[in-house]
Amino acid sequence: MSNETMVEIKHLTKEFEEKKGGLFKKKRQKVYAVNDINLKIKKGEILGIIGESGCGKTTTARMVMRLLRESSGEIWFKGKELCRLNDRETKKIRKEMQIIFQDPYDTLNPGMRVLDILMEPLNAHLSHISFKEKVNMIKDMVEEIDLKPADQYIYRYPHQLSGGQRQRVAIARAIILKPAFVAADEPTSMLDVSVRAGILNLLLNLRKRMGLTMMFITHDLATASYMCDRIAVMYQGKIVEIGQTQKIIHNPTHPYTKALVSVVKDLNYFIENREKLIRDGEVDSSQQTSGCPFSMRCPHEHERCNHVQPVLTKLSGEHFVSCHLENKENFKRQEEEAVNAI
Amino acid sequence: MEALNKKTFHFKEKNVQKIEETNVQPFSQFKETLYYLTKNKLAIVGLIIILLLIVMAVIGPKLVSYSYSDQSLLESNQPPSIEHWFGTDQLGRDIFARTWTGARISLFIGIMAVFIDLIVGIIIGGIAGLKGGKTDEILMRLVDILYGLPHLLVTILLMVVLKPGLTTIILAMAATGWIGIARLVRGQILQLKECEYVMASQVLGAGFYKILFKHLLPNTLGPIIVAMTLSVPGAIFAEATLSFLGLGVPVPLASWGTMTSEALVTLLTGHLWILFFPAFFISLTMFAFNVVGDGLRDALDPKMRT
Repeated sequence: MSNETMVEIKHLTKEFEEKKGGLFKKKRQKVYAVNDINLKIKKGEILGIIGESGCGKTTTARMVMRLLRESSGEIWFKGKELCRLNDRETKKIRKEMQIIFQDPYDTLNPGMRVLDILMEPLNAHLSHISFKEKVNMIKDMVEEIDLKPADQYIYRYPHQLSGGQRQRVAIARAIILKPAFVAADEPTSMLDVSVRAGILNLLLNLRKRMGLTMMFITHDLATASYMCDRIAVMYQGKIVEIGQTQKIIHNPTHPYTKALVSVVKDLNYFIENREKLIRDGEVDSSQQTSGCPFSMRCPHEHERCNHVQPVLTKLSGEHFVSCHLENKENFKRQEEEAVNAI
Repeated sequence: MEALNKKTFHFKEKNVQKIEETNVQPFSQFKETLYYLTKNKLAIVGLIIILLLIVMAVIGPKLVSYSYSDQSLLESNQPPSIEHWFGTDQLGRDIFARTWTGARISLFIGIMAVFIDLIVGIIIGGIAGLKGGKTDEILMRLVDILYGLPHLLVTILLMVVLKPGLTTIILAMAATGWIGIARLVRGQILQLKECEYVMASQVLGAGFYKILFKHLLPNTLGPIIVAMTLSVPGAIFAEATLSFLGLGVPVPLASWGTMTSEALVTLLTGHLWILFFPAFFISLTMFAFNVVGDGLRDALDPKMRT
């Protein structure tokens, strides 16, 4: 793994407007799906993003893929700022980055054969090569994703494939152009457990062979720890902890990460000590607090957490966390500043 | 008892490759739909009826020597006989000739009205669904307003304003008929727009028109075809209703609607065959189209297959 940065996200924010009230008196309320996040993905690295549903993982990936417009912030990819590119330049850059979606039953057009599905990216970007060459490329690709022999699969329609096979085709479609960067948006969450390992190993193999850089989105810490070099934990549109997988698993620091890890490590322990780890209740993301977004469910709630938003602070090496409890020094300094201000 | 071991098991067919091959017949959605449709016996009956009706509409009037407008007062109100297969009406016109001339007009009106509905509906619904935002809002409110007006009233008004005739009937019916299709198309497109394969296509760099013609339209086609087959009998019936109210095709032209309308007197006089034949064929057409529509819906929807 080199130190070259492939993707860099700076202060990325996505807000949705929620309309409330009646026909005439409309209240507009801003809901932050992604709130000022910063990320760096190094070349050849798999960065995992985990978090509960609705925390902004998918929104982040879709913004990077230019499927959604950002509200503010910058996305840098290979030295280019994606948010400022026009349509033509965006199309060019799309050859280099692809996405794998979650739902294998929704990701392939039911009226197209595997051949046609895989032909689509080739037609869009490699119009100069002949049809026969394209078919050969597709056959090679289909064999590479372990659908052998290719001749048996390329003339099938999606409904003649199983969920795992469909997801393999979706992966083939994403990597057939040999992109440098792939975002995988929960690629295994809708699959049977028995098929999951196969898909994960396929992705790891492809990464080895093609030197892929990946953004791997999941809500399953076990999957993330198997796949990823680094993990970013998101909560309510914010990154609350980020670091190497080993660090996150063995030394979770943020209370939310601690809860997540304890569920995977020892379910009995989690059930017995539930109140000490996390408080119940789903948080409505439209209710903004000026303090820490996790404060409503945090077991160690502190007075300060309700008022001051914590920032990502370095713990060691590449391990960052955003929590007042862990940043004692920072905490003191801010408190002094607050006192001075008064 | 003999112990179970590996040797007792063997492949029924040794060539495994061959077994697999027979299983992976690639079916296109079209072929599969056709396959499931042909399995539905009622739908086949419906298709045959529709075909027969169309054939008879084409050749029927030529089978007898009478024209639909030939009057012969000496031969009025005759029951079906070898001379007049379906009998004659109050003015002595041959009902067989009139029925199949009427079939031409009724089927033409039904199919044309639906065809216009379809074109207008797809364009308006498509624009609303694709553009979204303000355009969608305005178009859909317009549709809501039109939907709120009583259809029959609008149609009658248009009939009164425009010159009476075949085109007027079709236009008047299409004026309100496209609303349902527009709503359907808009809903479908809104739903498909969020599909992951459309987003994937976007990420792959496909342009707007490519997405529209490769992904969106082909996948809306199924429900549209179903809606179309189901609304043909509706249009034929609407024409019959208009004729019944005296707003149908001008005399001496015959449509099934005008024929039933004129034959209403027979309920008193007792020459019921005059009423029976046109009414029977209206019902038969409605039945056939409905059955085929139902069959198509089941064949197109994988969830309905048993």
